[in-house]
Amino acid sequence: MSLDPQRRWRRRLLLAPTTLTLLLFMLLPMLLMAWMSVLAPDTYGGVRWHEWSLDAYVQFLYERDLDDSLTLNSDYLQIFGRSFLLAGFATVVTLLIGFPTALYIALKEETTRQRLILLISIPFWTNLLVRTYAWMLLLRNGGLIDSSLSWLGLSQGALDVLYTPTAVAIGFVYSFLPFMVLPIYTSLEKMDWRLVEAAFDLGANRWQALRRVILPLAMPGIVAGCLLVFIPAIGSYYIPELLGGGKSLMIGNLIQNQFGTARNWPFGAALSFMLLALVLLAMWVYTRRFQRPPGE
Amino acid sequence: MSGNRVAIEVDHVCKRFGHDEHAVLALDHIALSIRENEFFTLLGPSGCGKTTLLRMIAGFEDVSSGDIRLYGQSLAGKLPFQRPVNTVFQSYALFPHLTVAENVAFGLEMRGVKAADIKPIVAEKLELVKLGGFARRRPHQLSGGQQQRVALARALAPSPKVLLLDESLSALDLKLRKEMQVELKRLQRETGITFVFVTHDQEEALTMSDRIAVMSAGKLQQVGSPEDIYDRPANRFVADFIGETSFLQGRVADGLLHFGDAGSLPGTVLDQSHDGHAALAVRPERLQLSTSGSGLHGVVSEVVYRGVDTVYTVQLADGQPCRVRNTNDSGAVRLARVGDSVQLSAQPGAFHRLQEADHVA
Repeated sequence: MSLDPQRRWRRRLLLAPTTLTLLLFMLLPMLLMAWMSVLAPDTYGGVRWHEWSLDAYVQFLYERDLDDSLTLNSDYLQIFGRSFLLAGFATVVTLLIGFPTALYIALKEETTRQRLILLISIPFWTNLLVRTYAWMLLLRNGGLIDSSLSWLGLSQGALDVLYTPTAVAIGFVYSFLPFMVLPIYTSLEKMDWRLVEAAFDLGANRWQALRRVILPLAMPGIVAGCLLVFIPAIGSYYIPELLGGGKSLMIGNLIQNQFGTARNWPFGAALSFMLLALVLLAMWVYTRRFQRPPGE
Repeated sequence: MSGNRVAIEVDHVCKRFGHDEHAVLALDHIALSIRENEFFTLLGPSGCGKTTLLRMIAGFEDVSSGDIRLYGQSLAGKLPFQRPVNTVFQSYALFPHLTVAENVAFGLEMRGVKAADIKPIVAEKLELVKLGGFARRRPHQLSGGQQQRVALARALAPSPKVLLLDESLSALDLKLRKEMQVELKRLQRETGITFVFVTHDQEEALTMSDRIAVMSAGKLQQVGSPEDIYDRPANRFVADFIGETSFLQGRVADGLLHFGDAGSLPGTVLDQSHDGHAALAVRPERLQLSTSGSGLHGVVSEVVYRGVDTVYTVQLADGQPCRVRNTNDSGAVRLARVGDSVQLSAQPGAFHRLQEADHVA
């Protein structure tokens, strides 16, 4: 489609606010970060603008000894691995809870559906930070869960769950569940249920109809939900900070450290880019695996 | 063609929607038998309950009372996937995420047919509906007519005892519909499967069916061959719904049919068993119009030219309107114009006497 120059300019003008916003608040900071990641750190934070260095990327894998030789250091890889596992776990669990929930809602009548969706989105009305603090109160020793479990005689001694990866995982599942339910619900809601009827007619039982017809057709929603859970989870900062107590560091905390107490901005910037690369890689693998229509 | 074995027995089936005094009786004591290898059509206007009955046979609706039996076995409590019947849905309901071949294979896989055996069956069914080269396409890449054929192949693949077709041709344009009518008839002959076809299109029903059940407002009006239905409608509803009909009030006496001032006709009523007042139905093509000679007197009030024929509306001398259809022969001139005085004559047996007690609108 070719547009005459005047219309093309008008279109560019209309797109200008969006383009400008993206340039200013997305591309520019990212370029800045990319630049920072290849500079040397300044002593009290910030960077030395004229001193190029790839140290930040080297530091990710190697430790520089006093004699300037490099030895392999897996600490940061472990943090990445832990982040990946926790985010992956949160994705799987929210999917396992979220899909049946979305299916249940989608099969209800119109008015009930709207009511249930409202219930799902009510937590959004409160700040996530506040809700995470609430989880701290629930999970801490002597908190509601701990005390009721020991009152019921189901646990001996303190629960000791707060400030562990388990607490972080619980926080993730709680926080990100709506992000799984809503896109899956959207794809189920617009599904043609006559197809399920056709599957029954052709001899499929409920399980077969779910596996062969409903799941494949809900796949766009499932993929969207998984990305919406996995990406914020892997880069999340204050849930591991508050519920993990800074003991089970995740990438987000590590990056924050570099810009804060560690005063190593180039390393923080480099870590951000490695997180970005990891997320893009995960997305690429995931969409390639699941979003391609089967049989092609 | 039709065997004598009964394939489906609908035994005084009722369907109520809603509860108690608010319940709507969607099907009112429907009783009919569908024979093996028969092309059976449920015909009626929308909302008459024909689709509900079909969905009951498929297992998508419960039976409120009564029973449906398939070869003597009650279908009560059997879920759709436990019934050896398959449906061609009005919307086709093809699986968009599967290829044509995978769609056709679906029912076979669900019934546990071995993968090696599925392939030749799928190829055979696609050949049967003339879609041999389309196995790898996806439904959205096909035209409406082709999708229709895939839906047919898919429903035929598991070799159902009965094939149910729910308004299956209504989404097609006229030309394609005519083609598919012939096609469906051929498929039914070749496969020997009992077809139960639901439609509101009376012409479609007459073209394809071995027998037709005419339904209205949840009630069965008449079951019979297309000829029965067309020539010997059981009541006013059937006569009106199928084809064109003029309804006239007359009087039978001395073997003559009297229409007051318009005059009388001899020997034109099928049922002359008793004299007296008669509610009559007559097809426009069974009457002849002439400007001279004998017959019922009247004045032409409307002329509609339709290519193959011309339909005249004649106001009879006793005040009743009556339609006459004359085939347009080559070189024929229009017989009459609006306002002309004309005479109507009838073929023997043209007038069909309707039951007096009939009040079905």
